[in-house]
Amino acid sequence: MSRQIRSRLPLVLVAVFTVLVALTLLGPTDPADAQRKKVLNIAAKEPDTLDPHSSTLGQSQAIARFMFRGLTRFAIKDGKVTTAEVEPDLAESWTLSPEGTIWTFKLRKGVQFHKGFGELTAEDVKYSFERQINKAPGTRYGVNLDVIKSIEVVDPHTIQIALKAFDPIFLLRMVGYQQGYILSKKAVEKYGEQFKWNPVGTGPFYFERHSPREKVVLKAFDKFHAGRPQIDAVNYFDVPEDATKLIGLEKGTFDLLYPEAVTADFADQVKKMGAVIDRRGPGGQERFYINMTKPPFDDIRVRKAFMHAIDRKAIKETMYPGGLARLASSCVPPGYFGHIPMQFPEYNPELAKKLLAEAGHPNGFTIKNYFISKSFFYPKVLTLAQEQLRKVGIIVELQVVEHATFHENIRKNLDPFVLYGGTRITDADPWLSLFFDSKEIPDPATGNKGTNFAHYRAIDDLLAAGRVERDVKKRAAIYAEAQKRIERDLVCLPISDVPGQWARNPKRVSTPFDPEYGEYSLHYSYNYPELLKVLN
Amino acid sequence: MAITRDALPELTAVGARDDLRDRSLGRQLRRYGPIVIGVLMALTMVVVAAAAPLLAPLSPSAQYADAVLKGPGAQDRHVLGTDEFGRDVFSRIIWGARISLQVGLASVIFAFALGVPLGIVAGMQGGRVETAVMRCADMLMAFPTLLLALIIVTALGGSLVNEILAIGVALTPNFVRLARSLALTIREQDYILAARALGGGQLRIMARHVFPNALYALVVVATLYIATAIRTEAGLSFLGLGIPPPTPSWGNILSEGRQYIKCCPWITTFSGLAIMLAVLAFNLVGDALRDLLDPRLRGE
Repeated sequence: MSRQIRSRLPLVLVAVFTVLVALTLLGPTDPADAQRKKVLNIAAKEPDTLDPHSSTLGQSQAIARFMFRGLTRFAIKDGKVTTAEVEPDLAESWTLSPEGTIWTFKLRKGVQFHKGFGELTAEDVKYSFERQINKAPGTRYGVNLDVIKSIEVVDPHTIQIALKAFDPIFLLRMVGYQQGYILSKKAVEKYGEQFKWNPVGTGPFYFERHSPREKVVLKAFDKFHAGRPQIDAVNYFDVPEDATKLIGLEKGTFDLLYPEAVTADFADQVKKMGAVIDRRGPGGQERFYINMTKPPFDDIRVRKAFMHAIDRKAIKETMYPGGLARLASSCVPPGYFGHIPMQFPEYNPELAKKLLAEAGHPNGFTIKNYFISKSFFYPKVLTLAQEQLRKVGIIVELQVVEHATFHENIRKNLDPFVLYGGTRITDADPWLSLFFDSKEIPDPATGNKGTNFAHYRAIDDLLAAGRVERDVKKRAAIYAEAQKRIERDLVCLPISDVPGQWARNPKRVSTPFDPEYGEYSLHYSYNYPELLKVLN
Repeated sequence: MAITRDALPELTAVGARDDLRDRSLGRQLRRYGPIVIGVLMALTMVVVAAAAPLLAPLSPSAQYADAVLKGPGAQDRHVLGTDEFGRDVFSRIIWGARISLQVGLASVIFAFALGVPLGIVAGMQGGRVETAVMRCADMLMAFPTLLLALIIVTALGGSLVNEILAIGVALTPNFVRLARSLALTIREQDYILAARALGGGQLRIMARHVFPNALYALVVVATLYIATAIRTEAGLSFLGLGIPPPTPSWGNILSEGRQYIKCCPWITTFSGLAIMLAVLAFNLVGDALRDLLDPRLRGE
């Protein structure tokens, strides 16, 4: 008997093996095929916080829009996203009192917060704005809500916001962007300081987990008020190097890239691999603010010499040749309400030297410990400028630091001139208020972390007048005057207007908007992440 | 490894007899080839570093807007091409030799000056002094050289002096250990006993007898550590913690070029090659010196 079994054993084994092979071949090649998840893989830098009111860093701004919404949103018109008109989002309608100071918003019913934090109510809206107005630790955009006098909850779905005076762009301020995001009051109170890694909003994706220095994982929110997004999950990878991002895009590891800087080489490589660059305006402006209170830049001749020393065209062309960016024409970028072209001292190193000599610096001067971020365009633009300044005798000794340290240090006024980039709401008021209002002068003594790096005080009256002016033409004239004063005082030198650009693998991800300026966008990201689709 | 000055004449005599026996060119070449090549390469580096202002065809920081990321030979003036700012890679590599050599030599001298006396004192004194010195050295040895240098530079901030200090401190324990082990061997020698019998004080014995007898072995190791220091400097600069821009160092040229490695490989290739050749040169010199001076290897 046992011999019989032994002799048949090979046969049995062969039979079993054949059955197994057959099962393998006949079965689905991938067991997950039937329910394959649509996963969007984004390569960016790690956000420093997920509290949308807290960070000015691009990567943090970009991910916020996946999780948070505001009362209004930018209107989609003729297949384009505008930045001047708004349409309802979390609010379904609104009215303005005849004297123009009381806005009443009716909230959409049944809008749910992530993770069971319940329905959106007027309390959450009030809380989201008041925490910023009251300058809760870490919040950065309170100044954009300065126009608000008081907020009153009428009923759970009605909120009344009283303004100090008429505000022509109040609905723009209510867009889901920076100060406009609505958070869950319960969640902020529950998590406190830790809200930054436990974000709860009403956006199309909810936060699932954060693996430090690796990725942030977001999941589709089934109860999103405009319907569940097509994408099931978003992996927001921490990839500091553009070269690594490009390799990932080519190999299919990443579908979308948030690059440090789109240089000619980057654009070429993206094109060669059959990917596209989604270009969105108005984009960010890269510019210098000169601290007019810090010697020797308190002397206008030195500021003028600085501007004569900088070859803006050479910097722009080296960084972004041809159409990759435009030479900046004003301290309020084109595409923003109120923009007018300004004049800047032309490139003339000889004149710069002469001015420096007149100001008592015949041999120039040295700036020690000048801090510059190691990320994005910062080190590159500064290296270009450093050499140009050296030619007229201004020696800049660099300390290249982490991006967050750079942000901290420039708010401690450690750099006599500050290179800065980024976008804000596309109207002259928020832009000028953030960068030229005296209330925004950073001061380590008071903890003011504003962004008026020029320490400028000469347009406060115009800003106040513009905020209450109802006549569009008169408003435009006010901001034109503001730009003329800035031009006169030589405190801001804009270099390049760079559109927001992300590289995308079109075989993997589709957007409803045309890649070339099809979607106006603020802060580099897609305004409507729920409209992105993963194709296979 | 350890040899004594008193033993040298005899060794030289043995070597001379060897030479008489084997005068074949092959053997000579095998023996002196590496040291000649190494010394020539190292000398070239020293000359290039010293004469950088004369040798570099262009300013290392001058930016040519008409030649951004152009290959070798661009505009008939950029022999090895240009980088992302239109700066001449050849001139930057020549100037970079200065930083590499300055850091390489200065940090090793620093480590030598600090580590050798400590090691000799530890070896000769023994007891608590030895325990204290050696445990401190062990503590520093627990960190890899690059990591330790990285920590120090991060704390002090990136500059030439800080980099030299950081790499010097990171290399010091190696010299402490070697000097101590040499001192342990030498202190048992008869001539030390003789010196002691003649009334020589501890300090005098260390300075006049132990140190000179340990010197050869220490110099060999120091030469090898120059290579390590150059590599560490390149590593620090590559990580953005070295000399701040725009001063060129091989590490930061390599680092700045790496994002353009696909389109413009000349930036990384030539700077990488410079680092490789420099490290090779000092390793060759170090190895050859050891072979020449080590009595155990000399006779072979």
